[in-house]
Amino acid sequence: MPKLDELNPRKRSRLILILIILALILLAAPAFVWMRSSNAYLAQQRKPKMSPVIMVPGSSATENRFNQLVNLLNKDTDKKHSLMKIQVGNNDKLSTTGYIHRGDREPIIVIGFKNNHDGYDNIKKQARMLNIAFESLTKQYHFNNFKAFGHSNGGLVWTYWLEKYYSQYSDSITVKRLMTLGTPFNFAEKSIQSPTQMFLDLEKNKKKIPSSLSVISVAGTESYDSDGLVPEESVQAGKYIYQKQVKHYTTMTVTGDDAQHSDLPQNKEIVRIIEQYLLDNKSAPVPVKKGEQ
Amino acid sequence: MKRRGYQFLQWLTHSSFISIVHDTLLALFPFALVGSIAQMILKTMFSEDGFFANIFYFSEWMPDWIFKACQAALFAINQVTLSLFGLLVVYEAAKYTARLYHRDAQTAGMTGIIALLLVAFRYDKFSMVKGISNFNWKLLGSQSVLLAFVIGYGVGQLYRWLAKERNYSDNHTFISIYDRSLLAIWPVIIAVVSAVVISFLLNFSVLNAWLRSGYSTLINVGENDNQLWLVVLTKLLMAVVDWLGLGTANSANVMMSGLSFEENLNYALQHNSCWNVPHPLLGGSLYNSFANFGGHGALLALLVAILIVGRRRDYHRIARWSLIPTLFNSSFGVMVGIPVLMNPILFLPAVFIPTLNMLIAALAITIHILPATPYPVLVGTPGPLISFIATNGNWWVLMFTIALFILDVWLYLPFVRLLEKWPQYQVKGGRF
Repeated sequence: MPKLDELNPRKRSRLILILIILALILLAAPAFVWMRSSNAYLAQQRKPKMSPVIMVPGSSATENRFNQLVNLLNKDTDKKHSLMKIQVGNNDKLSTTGYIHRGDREPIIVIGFKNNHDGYDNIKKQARMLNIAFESLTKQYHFNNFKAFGHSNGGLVWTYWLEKYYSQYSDSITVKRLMTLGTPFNFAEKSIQSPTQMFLDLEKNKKKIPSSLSVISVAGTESYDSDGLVPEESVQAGKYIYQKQVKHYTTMTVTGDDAQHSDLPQNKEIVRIIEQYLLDNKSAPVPVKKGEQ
Repeated sequence: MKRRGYQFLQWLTHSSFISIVHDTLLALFPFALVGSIAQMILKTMFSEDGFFANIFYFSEWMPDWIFKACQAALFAINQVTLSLFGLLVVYEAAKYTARLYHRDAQTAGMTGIIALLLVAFRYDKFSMVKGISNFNWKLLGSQSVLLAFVIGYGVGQLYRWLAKERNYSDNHTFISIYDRSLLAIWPVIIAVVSAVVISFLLNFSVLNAWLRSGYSTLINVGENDNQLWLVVLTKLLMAVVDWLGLGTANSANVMMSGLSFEENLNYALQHNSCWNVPHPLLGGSLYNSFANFGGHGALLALLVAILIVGRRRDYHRIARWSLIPTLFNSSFGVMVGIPVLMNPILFLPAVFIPTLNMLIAALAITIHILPATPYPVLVGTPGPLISFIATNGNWWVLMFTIALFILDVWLYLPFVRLLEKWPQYQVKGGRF
């Protein structure tokens, strides 16, 4: 080979040039495939897209827990929300009923757990299962923001998820609002003086909760200090977790008919609160494009 | 006029400094090459937005620990070769300068290293208390080559004045080891003292910080949505800085973000078209797509020109070695090997060809015969393919870019011929 080089270096160089050009053409093919798929993904992600409401029921309840609530919501508004229900099985398998209508910007997705028992250990498990369902949602539907709703322990599952799992998505998906309903942040304890382990953990990791979040915590009361199951003090303990960490933390107390813990999701007043505070009821603001002012 | 220019070039290349730069860089080519190859592999294969890592979907099938291990190994090679390149430069530069005047070259080289380290020494309280040596590492790297040359040359001159002439280059002559050692005492003392005095007087860390911030301001202005003349001017200045050996060793990390870039990308994605984006003449996109053929100075075009019309075997071999890293925009190898750094003959093309490319492309975009290039591009995408990828696969743009590249090669041809004929660069080894 060196002989060829000594005679005329250009011969060998031309050969190498031709090889490089061939290699470049060969490389262009996978680069083309990458380019198309990556740009398609980017385009998909930026489309005017949906902002789902994801609901998590409390203990002993299934993914059907909010059927009535969704009916009530759809009765009032002309924008009908489609309802999709996902159950996470004990083997982490997802089974889905219902579907999201095409073009529905604000579908309601309920994520229930086959294992729906009470207790801190179970809430951790449910948060992990919620994450499995959430991850699969992000892969199927390209949304960049959503609203979270949790009834009773569902609010604990959301809080735990926000602290432990949300950081995986935080750069591409925003959680706009979280509404908790009769959520016992300190379980059945009547006073913050006797904090549960769960409350301590949630409070310890509060810094991981996104500071752009708005939180609405709603309590129901039958008597003066309880909704018949959860002490009002335990609901109000949420302030130690969310206050001074999120953008807005609002608490409301609902009394009167249907203010018992299990009736809360059907309570007319609460349906109104959901419509007013959790859903995107106004049409999204259209950004003014540069040069078109 | 032409004659004047020729004479000026003659004078420049005759000057001891420029010829020492030339020889030093040539001698260091293997290190620069290894560094740029490591850099190329690191950028294209083992970084998140690298070209190969993405088009072959490394993240899908490559175990994480292999990825991490390769990343670490290549980073180490890259750091030691390129980020400490100034040490090699100062040694060789002092050595060649001393040899030019028949002084002891080896000792001069080592003195050069000491002088550069003293200049780069960081005088902070922390190191004093802990007894640790700390350096302004940037001053030792490939982005401060000019400084290393000046110091090396200066140390060589010290030997010329203070040491005695001996015939060191002839191996058969016996040189007393005492002679060599004793003759170096005064040059070492003066070099050490003046290095310390200079570094105190000139506070290099501050000077360097100014230079760095100036450079990043240039990058910022040049890559954002500014007046075209401003973009072109800053790119021109950057090309000069790079030619002087004060730029970054790679142009692979051209900025692909910023508000204007996002606005362009959003527009293109929404309309599925590259035409009529809000900022058609965005500096970064323009430069990256149409002038970044192998880093600053369209050096890929230079290499191709050498491979096509070159007659000299050494140039061919250097060009062939540095072709692959340059193709993926790690061009330090060719900058050192040909060399391009501080080469008076290559100043004009290296500075003006990329500018010309940008102007032509900007004109074509302005009169709407060429779309803008708003889509993201992977790090280390081969230069001629960048515009194609950045338009989501516009064939017309690809053809335009290839035509532009051929023009660049053609523009480099006379300079390659001049380079080969240039008498000062003809014979190696025999000169000293």
